[in-house]
Amino acid sequence: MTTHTIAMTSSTASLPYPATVSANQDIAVGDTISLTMTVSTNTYAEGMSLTASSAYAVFTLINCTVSPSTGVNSGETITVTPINNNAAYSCSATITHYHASPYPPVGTTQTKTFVLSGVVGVLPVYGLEIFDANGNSRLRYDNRLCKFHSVYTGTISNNTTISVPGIAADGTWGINNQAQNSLVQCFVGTNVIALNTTSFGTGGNLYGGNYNYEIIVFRV
Amino acid sequence: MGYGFLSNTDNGYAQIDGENLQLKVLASGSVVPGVIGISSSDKDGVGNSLYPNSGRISNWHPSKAATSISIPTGYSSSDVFLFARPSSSTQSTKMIGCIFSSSTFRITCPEWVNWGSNTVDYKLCVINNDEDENTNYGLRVFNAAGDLGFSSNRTNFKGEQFAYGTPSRNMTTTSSSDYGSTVIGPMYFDKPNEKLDYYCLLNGCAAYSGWQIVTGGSPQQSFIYNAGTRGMFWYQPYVQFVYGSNPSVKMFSDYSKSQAYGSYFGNQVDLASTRGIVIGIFV
Repeated sequence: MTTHTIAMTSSTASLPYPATVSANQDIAVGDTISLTMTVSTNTYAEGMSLTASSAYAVFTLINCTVSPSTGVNSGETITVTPINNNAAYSCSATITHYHASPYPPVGTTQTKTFVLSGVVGVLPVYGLEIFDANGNSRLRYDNRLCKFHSVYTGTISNNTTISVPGIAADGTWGINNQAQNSLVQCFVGTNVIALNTTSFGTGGNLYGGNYNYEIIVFRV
Repeated sequence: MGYGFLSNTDNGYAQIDGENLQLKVLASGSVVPGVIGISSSDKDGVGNSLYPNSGRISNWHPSKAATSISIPTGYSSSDVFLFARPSSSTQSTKMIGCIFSSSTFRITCPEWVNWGSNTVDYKLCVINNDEDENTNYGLRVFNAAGDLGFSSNRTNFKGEQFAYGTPSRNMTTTSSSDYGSTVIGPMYFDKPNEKLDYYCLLNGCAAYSGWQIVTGGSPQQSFIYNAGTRGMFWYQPYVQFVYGSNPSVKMFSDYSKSQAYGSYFGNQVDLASTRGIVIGIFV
């Protein structure tokens, strides 16, 4: 259930031409895409033309739906939702805007087309997904799993370290000192947890406390 | 690892490694957060009185006592992982903390935060080898000691992010927000559209709290309170859920409150021990 965010913007250099802007996003059923398509402009008249109903995006959809599907102007955000698994999808939107001298030189409007495409339900092509008996995904290739590693308890009298082989400050190791009224601060290092006695402010320790520690270590 | 089973996420984080152990949801429910110290017999896990029980500000919510919930038999406060989330988005200030005794826990909030009838959902997790469902199918992975590293027959906690720190607070501010406190986080949800599904580990809220006597004399030793002559502020780290376009969770120290007279000492409330929070979704 991931929401992907995609913004596509046409360049001002492409204003005179019928340009196409493309993006690719593979997606799983249950995921959605938050899509914003913006036509860059140079002049006031060009910018104002994008607010008119004549500049509403005209959608061509394959294996997906969009919401809202009507009344969408440049710069507004829509939600793209895939329909069928194991198939390609595309969401194409064409916006018409004013231009004083378009190429080819017909009239005073030009178009920009935004094409978002990809495949549904086949990403990634590796990894593990585990379902429960009801078909709900219990663990997926993009899910981190919170796991218990160990618990360390004791009492310190000075700053010290405890050895925890493998631990590192890499964002995957979690610690929490949950000893009651503990004054012990702890920090994740490489293969160690550093334990420090706390230092209070100018008023000193007003609150009692002790130098016991009970540190749970977990992985995420 | 020299043997066994290893699976990684698509961006390289270890999921199942045959070494670390999966959390098991042992109890769950919903409860309205409340305050502590309503009774003079209300004490923390090492016997200290939790709070003066008189002279509280009447327009706050001091009479809403936090509900005491039993830790299942066979486990104690040092064995459990307490996760919680707001049950809905209705509550405006979504601040919660917790406190343990040897056999119970309570989900708390500052006195100035009124949860009304709004509740939080909690899940109490432990480490054991029990499973939730039919074991005739699915995947189980054990570590070398025979303990359960993963079972598809369990509700699974999909951890997303972790942060830790020491939520000190500068006493010179009276702001009832994270201003003045060292903030752990905020951790922004990877899936903002599923913000109501996110739980946060609360254990770190319980370990230590700070007291501050204000005005009228020199700093007092802990837990001494003279009603009518001194004010007292009680500090604890709380977790705050913020639901908006960019939902997140953070931890910081804030005051609950009893009486207050005059100004603060310019003292640092160093809530001493290190706290860690992790967010994720149970599936």
